[in-house]
Amino acid sequence: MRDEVDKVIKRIHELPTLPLVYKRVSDLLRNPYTSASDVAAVISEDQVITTKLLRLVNSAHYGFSEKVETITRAVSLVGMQAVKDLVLATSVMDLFHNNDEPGAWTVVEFWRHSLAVAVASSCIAEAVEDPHVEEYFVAGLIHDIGKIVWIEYFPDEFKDVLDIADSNRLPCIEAEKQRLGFTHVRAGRLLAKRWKLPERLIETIAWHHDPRLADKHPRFPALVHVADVIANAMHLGKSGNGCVPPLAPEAMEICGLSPSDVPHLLPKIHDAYQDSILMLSFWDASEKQEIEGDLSTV
Amino acid sequence: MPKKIPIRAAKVGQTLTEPVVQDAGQILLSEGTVLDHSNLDLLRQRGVMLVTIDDGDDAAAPSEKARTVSDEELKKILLEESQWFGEQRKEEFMAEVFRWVVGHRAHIEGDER
Ligand SMILES: [Fe+2]
Ligand SMILES: [Fe+2]
Repeated sequence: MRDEVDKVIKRIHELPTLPLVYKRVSDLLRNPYTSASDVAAVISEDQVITTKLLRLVNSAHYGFSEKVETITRAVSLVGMQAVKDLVLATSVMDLFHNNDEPGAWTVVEFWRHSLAVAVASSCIAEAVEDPHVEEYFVAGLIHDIGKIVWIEYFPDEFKDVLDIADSNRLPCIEAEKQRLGFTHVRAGRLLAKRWKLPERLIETIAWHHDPRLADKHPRFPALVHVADVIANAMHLGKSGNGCVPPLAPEAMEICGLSPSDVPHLLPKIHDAYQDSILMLSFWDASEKQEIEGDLSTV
Repeated sequence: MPKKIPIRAAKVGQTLTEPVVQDAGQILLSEGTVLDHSNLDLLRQRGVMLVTIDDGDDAAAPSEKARTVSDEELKKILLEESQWFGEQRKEEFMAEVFRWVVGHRAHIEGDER
């Protein structure tokens, strides 16, 4: 087991860093005099991220009345902080392409689950009138990023994890402990720290299965935790669980949700997920060429 | 029914049932304003997150939807979901989620037949 743990840690340190554009946008946002056009200029230098970001902003998730044609317009509509988060989301989704399937569980299913949790997180934030809807969306999108380490570098071991979870009706995290002695939250936290992600995202990744342990931003892991349980319960995407992961009652308290919210909340999550799932198509290999050729909108 | 919705879900033609007020107390749009492209863009640019509109929505609970599967199929769905949810389906919040998921599946699978 110790060897496995060392192997995992070594692999995480070998993982790619985030594209330079994310760091540059982060640096710009530390300066209070930065304008929307400064941010747009930096993003526009990375054509692939520019194209994907425009597609994201034009997706049903945002529902703008007119097509957003330029990054400058996207920044002014969505806001600089939200655009920085979207650069992060597009960069992270773009880093991993391994299509070796651990069992029946594919990378696409993983991203479907991530998108479901993103959508559920933003719907919950709306339901409880929390204004940080977009930040919860990105937190939900990358909450299980540690599992990508398994898919990328440990597909055989992860196949065992999935089998253990499935045949014993266990949450994936419990099967990881049994087979790997290392969990996706631990791997994800190391990755998030290496990428110097904002603290609220590090805490979401680290504590979304045990939100009581978060000390700086407890609302982020708590809300994403509830979204994760709901997305699993609703069968939106697959995240390797053999059952619906257990809901922590204190997370409900932190979020301010009650059982009477369910009949309104779940149809919203369902519909928002169906609308947003098209977003994933632009990460499909078949569309990759089209995207890369489709740069005239910058 | 007045309802608070995120700005990205607001649509042209909807009517505000509360004024939109900025932090400084300035009224951006008054109650009764009908949303159009330009005032929606204005709200987004000013960083407004939520607006209250009258949407007349009365979301139906899944149990109110017509159940279109046979008793046999419903039993199968119930068994599968009971195993998937485990014991937590008996806890208050998850019991509601369980009920919704079963109702939704019964509805969808009934439609597919
Ligand atoms: Fe997780
Ligand atoms: Fe998850």
